[in-house]
Amino acid sequence: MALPPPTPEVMDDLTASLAPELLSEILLRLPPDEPEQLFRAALVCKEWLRAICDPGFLRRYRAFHRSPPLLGLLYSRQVLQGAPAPHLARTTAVPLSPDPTFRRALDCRHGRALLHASDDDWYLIVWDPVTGEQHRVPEPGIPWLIYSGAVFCAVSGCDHLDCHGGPFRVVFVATDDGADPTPTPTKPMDTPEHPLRFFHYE
Amino acid sequence: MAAAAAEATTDGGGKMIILISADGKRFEVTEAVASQSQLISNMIEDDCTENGVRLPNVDGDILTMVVDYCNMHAGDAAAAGDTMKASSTEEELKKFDAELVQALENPVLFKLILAANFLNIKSLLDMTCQRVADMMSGKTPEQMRETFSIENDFTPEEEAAIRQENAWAFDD
Repeated sequence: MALPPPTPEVMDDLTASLAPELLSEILLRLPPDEPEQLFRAALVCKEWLRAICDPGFLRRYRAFHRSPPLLGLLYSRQVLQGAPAPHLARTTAVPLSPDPTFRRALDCRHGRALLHASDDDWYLIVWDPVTGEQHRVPEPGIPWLIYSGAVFCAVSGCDHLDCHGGPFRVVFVATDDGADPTPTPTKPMDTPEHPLRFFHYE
Repeated sequence: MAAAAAEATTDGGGKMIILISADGKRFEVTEAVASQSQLISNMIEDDCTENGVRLPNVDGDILTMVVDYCNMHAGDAAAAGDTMKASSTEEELKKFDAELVQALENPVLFKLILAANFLNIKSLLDMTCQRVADMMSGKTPEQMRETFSIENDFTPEEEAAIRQENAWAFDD
């Protein structure tokens, strides 16, 4: 009777025992909210470094964890007089670019924060905390009383898991100063009764 | 003979098949249990399990664990809607899974990963890979090398350059 084929030698050494695709399966499961884990694993040996730096792995990593990690919170305390400077509280060890000076954070989406800032004039800042990229966007030039804004990635078909550096859109919504300040959610466009202003930049 | 045993049926009506490990150990399981392996499920569909399924790269001791795992988890898949038959509650399953991988030596854990991958049992592959990833958690590169017996093949200059470039990640 023929002997069964020998089983492959499996040892203590993870890299020698498991094929590269299985090593990737394991590295895929390192937690995204502790980004230093991936960096540390990349320094274990060259094969791990190659596995982690592979663009295919990074795509799978983002898809596996579905949502990007939380890197920090933009906040400002409500006080009666002399508003304290708004602040970014980092929640991981990842170094982020220095926070621009701003008055209010309006939105955070697709890797960018939309900030309302003023020096001589009011303006908007689109800030990527990871790359440090900053764009100054002029205000639409309307008197506002109640307002909000949003920033979106504008790349068609993007999965929004890693959209740094591409085109984006900014939406600014406001009610006119002096008019009824309550916008009606069912009529989100400019109407005589509720002069809600809607602008977008590309 | 294997063929006769393979065609036997249980009281519950589930057809039995025989799995044969690399070292010749035989395991008799129901089709429902075995079909958690996508590989075997495909073989059952193709009707080629009658003489037993030889698994030349899975040892008997590893196959014992795999069969235990599949027996334990057969409830989820096979008895959907039949609560009487679902032998294990979710909590029991979690406890069983945790205990299965918790105390394993590295080579055994790696063999279990290889078996789960070869047999294509997604939930077992998930669980075993997650266990290894958890073992990396909170460790420095040196500690990971030690845990997984990996030789450092960076030159001191290469290692220093990477550390310097990403100092924040190595700040213990």
